[in-house]
Amino acid sequence: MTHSTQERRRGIFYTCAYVPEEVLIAAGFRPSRLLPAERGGDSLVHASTCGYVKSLLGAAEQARDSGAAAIVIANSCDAMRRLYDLWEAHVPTPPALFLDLPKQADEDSVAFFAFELRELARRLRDDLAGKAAGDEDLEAAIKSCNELRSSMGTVFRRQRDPQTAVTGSEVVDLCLRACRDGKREVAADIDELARRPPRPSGSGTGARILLAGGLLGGNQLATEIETAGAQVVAVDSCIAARDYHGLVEEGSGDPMRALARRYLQRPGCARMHGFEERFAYLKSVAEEAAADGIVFHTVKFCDTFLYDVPMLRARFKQLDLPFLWLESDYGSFDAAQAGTRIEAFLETSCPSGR
Amino acid sequence: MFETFLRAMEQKSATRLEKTGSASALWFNEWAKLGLRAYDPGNKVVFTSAYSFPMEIVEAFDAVPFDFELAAGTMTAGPLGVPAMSEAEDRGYSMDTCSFHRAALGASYLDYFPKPDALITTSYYCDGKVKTNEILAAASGVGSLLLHVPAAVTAESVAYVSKQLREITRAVGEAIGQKPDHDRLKAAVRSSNRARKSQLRMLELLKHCPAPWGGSQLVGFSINSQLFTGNEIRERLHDAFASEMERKIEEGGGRPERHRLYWFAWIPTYRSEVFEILEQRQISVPLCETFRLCWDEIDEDNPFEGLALRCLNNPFVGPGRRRTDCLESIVEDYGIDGAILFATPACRQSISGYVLLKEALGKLGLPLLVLDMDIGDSRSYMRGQIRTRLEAFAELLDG
Repeated sequence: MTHSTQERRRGIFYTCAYVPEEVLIAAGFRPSRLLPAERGGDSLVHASTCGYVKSLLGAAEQARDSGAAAIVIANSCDAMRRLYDLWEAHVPTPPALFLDLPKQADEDSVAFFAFELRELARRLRDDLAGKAAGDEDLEAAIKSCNELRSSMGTVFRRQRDPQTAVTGSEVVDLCLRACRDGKREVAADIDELARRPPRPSGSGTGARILLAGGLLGGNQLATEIETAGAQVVAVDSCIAARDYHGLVEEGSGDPMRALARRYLQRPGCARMHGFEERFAYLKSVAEEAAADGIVFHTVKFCDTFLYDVPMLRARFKQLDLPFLWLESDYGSFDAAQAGTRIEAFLETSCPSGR
Repeated sequence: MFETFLRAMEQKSATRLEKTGSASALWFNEWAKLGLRAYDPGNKVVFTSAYSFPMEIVEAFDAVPFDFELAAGTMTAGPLGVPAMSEAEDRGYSMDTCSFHRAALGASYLDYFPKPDALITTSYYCDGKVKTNEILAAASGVGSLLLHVPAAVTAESVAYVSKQLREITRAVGEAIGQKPDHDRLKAAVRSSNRARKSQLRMLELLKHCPAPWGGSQLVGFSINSQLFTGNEIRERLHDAFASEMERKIEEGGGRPERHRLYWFAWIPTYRSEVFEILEQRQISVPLCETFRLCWDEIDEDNPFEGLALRCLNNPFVGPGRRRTDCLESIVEDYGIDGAILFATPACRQSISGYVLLKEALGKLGLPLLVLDMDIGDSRSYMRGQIRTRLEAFAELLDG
């Protein structure tokens, strides 16, 4: 797919990393994740709701002005379900499409999710005058997205390599641009980071930090960690490593099922059933990155991550791996407070790295 | 500790039942007795979410159902609630999580709760319940089972949910070392169908002005009684309440009424003045959304599909308009002139889209009060503020 073909495509937004971009691409659209930079939408949503959902509603005008064909809202969590209701009632353009999403990853759930994806493809064709996404279109989109995932995999390996000059804040910045602008739009930047030569002065210094948790709407947290003298050697978030983890099987004969399987069975967001699997995965990420500590970020009122925090902290304590939980309200990051807590964490828990 | 609390509840309600024969005494007594059975070392205990999981499946086994949220709710009505919540908070559970879940987790850590042999919950109503079920399972070394209920009713979703129900039935049997008894399952479905009929009778009686029943007891019963779904106790309770209502109507009883409200979501479990203030202002609550009937009779020869459909049609599954589509007929049938949404802060699924409830009622010319108040945490109760809001709402209703 050429860049010029991309430009001619209509944009379409989605709100969760569980929405398979391949289906949107195969139907002839240019997908991007709506990640508003500003807070808004407070007048329509109850105060005790996550800031991301509020901001999405607040960005309805921006979405309309962009000329996007639709916004795909997944059944990611309680607040997202209500976002769909509110969008449907209050935002005529672009229209919202709802994508159901199982909480389990067994084969019955995969089959059900594949059915939902076929329904999504049908609505893209019938309601939005999209292209009929045939198996060939899907296979082409899968191949293209897999290539990007592989390239990003190289970037993530570079990030944790002590010899490279790829910083965590650069990676977060790239991931955010990939979400906002569309992943293919930043392909050249991905290549640049993947090929960046090793730093001339040898290994980086400072504690090696795994930045993990829920949605990151900006790169302030990674920047604060680096400003405090540490290195962000891995970023496990739905905009970063988790979004690129695992490839979709190519040439399976049933591309929708292959997509459903990859999206449900890759390392899960806290919305998924299966804490033990999530812990084992996060532990493996920390080990691969040789992390000295974990900074675990949650968005305020994001229940799915909030309930995981105490057990994760206890488990990592057993492994003697320092764990700092930081919460922020999407779109309004308190840098001073976060900076103080990060400095204290680095001084007391991982003073000089290992 | 919770066992002691239940024992006291059982004794007190038994005395009251003997003296008065009242339906509420029968309800509390059966509730306490069922809870106590979960502490009997010889019994298998299945933690479940009675208001969302089809309890008929648990009834197919020799097992005691125990709803950790309803138990937490009972606990937060008494002195055990705050210590249990504090225990969970000390272990790192945020005050932004549901107070029922904090109480349940704390109760588990403090050994207030019985030990589960299996744990089942559903993907609806809320995410927090799913997480709590999994944490409780981890704490007790038992696997957690989850029924995912999609948002739309389609042939595929019915097949998906019914297949999960079959698998959960198998898994429960394996966990407690029993084979599911399909005749018992059929009998449980039959019992539910009968309870459904008696609930329709109750719903008809609640239309009467002045309301023969309602308020906090109706809301509490509508949720708590679901622990008896599939069991003949639920039928008996419905019949007992219906008979009391009929008697009251015949005797011309019932409090004077100036306004009739529809109640969305839950009620505070701890001592508060909410319903006292409403009574003082002659405002009754003859219907709540948790007592609506949204399912058709189930074919006992095809129980899994019927139970799947009941789950899929629940108003708290799927689009929020399921909570508002019925409002026009409710307002007309029950003479409703306003509504209250009990907005406990962690119940995002219920409160995040409150604007839609407000707009739907607004179209009918009716006001909605969003009553921000925690469901189970008495420490956050602000008496004066709640009184001011309720009185202002009463004045609004008076015009």
